[in-house]
Amino acid sequence: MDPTFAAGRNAPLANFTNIQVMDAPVIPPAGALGDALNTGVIRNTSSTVMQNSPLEQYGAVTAGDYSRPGDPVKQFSIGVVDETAGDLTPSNSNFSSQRSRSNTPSTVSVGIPSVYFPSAASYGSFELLVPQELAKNVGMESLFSDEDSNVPFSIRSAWIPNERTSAALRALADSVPASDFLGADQITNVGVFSDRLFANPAFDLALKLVGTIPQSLLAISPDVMIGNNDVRSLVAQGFYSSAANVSAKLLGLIDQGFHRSGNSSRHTPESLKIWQLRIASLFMLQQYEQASKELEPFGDLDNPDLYLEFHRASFGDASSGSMVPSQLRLLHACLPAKLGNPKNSLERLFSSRNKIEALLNNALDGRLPAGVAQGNSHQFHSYWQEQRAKTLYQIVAVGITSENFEVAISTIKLLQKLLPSKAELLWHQCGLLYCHIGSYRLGRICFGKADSFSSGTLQNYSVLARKAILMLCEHSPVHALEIYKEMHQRFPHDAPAANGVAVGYFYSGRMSESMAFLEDLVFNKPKVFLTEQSIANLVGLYELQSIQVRQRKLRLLSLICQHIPDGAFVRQLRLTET
Amino acid sequence: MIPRSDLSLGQSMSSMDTSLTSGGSASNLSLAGKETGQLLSIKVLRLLKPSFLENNNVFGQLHYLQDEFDAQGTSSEKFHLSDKGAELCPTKSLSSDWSFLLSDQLVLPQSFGTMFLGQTLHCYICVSNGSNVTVRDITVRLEFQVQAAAAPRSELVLNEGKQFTLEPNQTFDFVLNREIRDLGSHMMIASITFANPQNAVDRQNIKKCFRYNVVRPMDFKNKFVSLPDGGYFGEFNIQNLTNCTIVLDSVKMITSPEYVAEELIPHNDLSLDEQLETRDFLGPNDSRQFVFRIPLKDRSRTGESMKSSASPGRVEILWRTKMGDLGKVTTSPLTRAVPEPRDIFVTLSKRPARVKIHKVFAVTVTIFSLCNRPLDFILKMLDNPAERSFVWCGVSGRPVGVLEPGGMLEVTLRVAPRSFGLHLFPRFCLLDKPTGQRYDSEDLAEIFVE
Repeated sequence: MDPTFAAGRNAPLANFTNIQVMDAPVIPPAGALGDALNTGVIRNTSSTVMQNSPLEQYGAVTAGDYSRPGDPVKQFSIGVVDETAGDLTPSNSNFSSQRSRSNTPSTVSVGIPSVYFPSAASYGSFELLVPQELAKNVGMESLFSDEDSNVPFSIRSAWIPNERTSAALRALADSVPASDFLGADQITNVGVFSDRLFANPAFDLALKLVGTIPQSLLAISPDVMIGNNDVRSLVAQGFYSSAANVSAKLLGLIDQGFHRSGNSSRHTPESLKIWQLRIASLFMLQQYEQASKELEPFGDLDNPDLYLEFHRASFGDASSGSMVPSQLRLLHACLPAKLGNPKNSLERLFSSRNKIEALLNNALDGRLPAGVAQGNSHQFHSYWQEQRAKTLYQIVAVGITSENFEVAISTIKLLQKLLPSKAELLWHQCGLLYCHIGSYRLGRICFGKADSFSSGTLQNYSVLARKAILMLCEHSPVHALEIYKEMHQRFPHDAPAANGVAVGYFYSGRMSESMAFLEDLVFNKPKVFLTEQSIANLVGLYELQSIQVRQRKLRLLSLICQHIPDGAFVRQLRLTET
Repeated sequence: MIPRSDLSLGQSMSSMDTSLTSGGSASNLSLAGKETGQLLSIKVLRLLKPSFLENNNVFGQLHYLQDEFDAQGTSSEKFHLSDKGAELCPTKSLSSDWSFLLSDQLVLPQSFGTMFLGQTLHCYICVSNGSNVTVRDITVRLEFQVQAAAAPRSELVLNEGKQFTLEPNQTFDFVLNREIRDLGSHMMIASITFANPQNAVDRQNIKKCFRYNVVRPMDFKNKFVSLPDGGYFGEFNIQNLTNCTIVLDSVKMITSPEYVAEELIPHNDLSLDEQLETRDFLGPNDSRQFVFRIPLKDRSRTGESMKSSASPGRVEILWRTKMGDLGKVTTSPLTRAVPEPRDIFVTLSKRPARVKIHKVFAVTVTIFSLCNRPLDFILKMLDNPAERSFVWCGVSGRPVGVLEPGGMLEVTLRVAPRSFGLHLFPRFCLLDKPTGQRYDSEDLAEIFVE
């Protein structure tokens, strides 16, 4: 074997074993190993290099680890970072070894990285965008086929840069040398923050406590998605830890992997899409600290190099607008609230909203962003109106978590004006919010309004659900029991109704009945009833009864392993190792 | 397990407020004492009301439940779930962008929360036998202690007279509701005694202490303004002292027998939409002002009421916290400043609010007698050279008649305004002929001249 490649493979593996070395005696059955691996539980019980092990195919690799001989990936270089001074043209043959060495400090450039602007001449020699072939190989194609794909990119990319950024972009258009107008803080040098691999928390816990992982009974397996590097599907299907691992790998490909933070790299709409999915996965895994560290170099998502104008050479002179996907913007805005700073979140969300309002107002005055054809004006409006509504929704959510109910309620009222078609949903949620605060009187008024908008086959369900919640809020869960029983009878596959019944039994002093009722449903129809709330309720009952608590929790854990893609709510079990 | 109906507590605890119709959410009370090695264990969960599950999802995941279900559910089931998913269950919805943090899924309380004065402590108590031997002759005794105050200790024997037996893995559980009437540190001591399974002669004891602290939920300030007829305006200011949001359910004045009360600006008259515009919750440190008019029931007793120091009554506040958990506090009887003992009380009972310049207008002065002798008055109009915005029209020094004890007199006076603006009604004085006592009027009113 070519020694270069061997080195390339060994280095990152050594890293892995440092991250998560499992106890040597715990050797799961053969079937379990695959499961463990596909969520990133890496175990290396011997010194053998795991050649051709399932590791790679499960995406448990870092930036340097996909450079196998013959792997088409290595033939593409992405990014135009000048790390080795004087050598502006990366050599394709060296690429893999360079990348793998990049984990060692000796080759990491220190100080402010210089940004290399491709001249027309150098531009011709290699692709700056993610090449089609690479895209196919790493599954990036799936990133484009998301919910926004029917909206032209020119519409999605509309954004209003802040003053400093727009000055920089103007200067760029006038061909002022970059050093004259760009501050070091205006370059977005991002990178994956840690090389830690994520594991399915349920599997992780099962391994620690039981030693084996129950065979997953899910109809969908993440393997294919991991093989295709299909981060989007992984996130959509709930395999968050795999999504986080695979996204780190993809970012490694475009020079934004582990240890690359602070080094300049190139942004494309696709790379930012991966960031969006990665941050979303980290949110779902509740790794807010890490998400915040990784988002930090992005600043306020308004740096010049996140705009298409900055990359005119590669995208063409007509291109303009921000490459940041709107969902990444929302995630970025919501993050401070998760870390205990809701005020900062609200500031970001309101500033986003103001920019969207400005875009919409400009468009109303006939000033569409460059690149959007007049014929698309309707689509532009509907896309940005939806973005505005999503931003407002997040404002409500942050308002609720931070108990800033004033903001939450006034924003819901605003949404009611903006979205008359969602009147029932909005009145319903407004009623829920009032009940949450404790004001059943206003809750009743809102629910009454929701009832008046309710129609169709689901009317019965929603009307009953609201009645039960009101009853609970005004009186007690015991009073709501009869309504929940009726709901459960008519909608036997509804988890909220079943939990309502269980809660009602419990509050009437019938704990064992409550437990038996819920256990029966959860264990017989886990696909429907194994929800976060059922788990939380069962665990609460087990702990109170304090009989065989651990065994019962472990039974639930194995059910979670079997039926939940990435058992994030395993924390509800409150299981400890001791 | 012992079914609830078997418990003799149904009766024995009714005197202690123990009923099953309680709501509330709960959490483990802080727990002292170890249970390792014990045959029995006792756990207490505060039954706060169940809360909505906070929906922590971000941006477009969690389709799996729905997909899988669709794949195998029958058509009708599929219908219910998938349709509902779109409308009501944001957690399962494809468009989870459109969900708030709240979903209508109930979860049992996860923490004890804060105990406020006036709330009822609902708790679920469970005695369980986690061992593999049968435990006989069990008695459970609960003792409530309040550290502060000389509050009496109270004790409650849960199964008075009837000791019970717990088989392995059996539990004895019940719901206890107890109104919290004292501030400060509270303790609930649970002691369980049972026959030693080894020798059936000794009795073994398990004691557990559950501590919790009771804090004041709100601050109450009041101010009374006397009305001429002996009634009052009561201004009540309620400030939320908790660190959470509370909802004022009702603020009622429970008046003493001689008064009635009506709230000014009641919310009940508002239309539904107007009610939605109001805000009935108080954030931390927010305060709200309520104004009541508290007239006398029997107006002929004005004089007596002015002298009596009887309290106008007390205020009862019902409030709710998260998910409508109810609390109730009543103030002690409110005191109001008793007007200084004096012989008469003078007020302008009829007067215009605005008058035209240079146009004579009339006011009616009402004089109440608060003394027990008849008074015979002469009315003198006073001239204040520094302030002549109003001039008197009429004769000064004329008799106004005899005022019987407890009676009242009405006198009409005419005044002409001389300058624009808001001016004080001029002063006059009353001379009691028999004694020569002089009573000066105070500043009775301000009148706007235009």
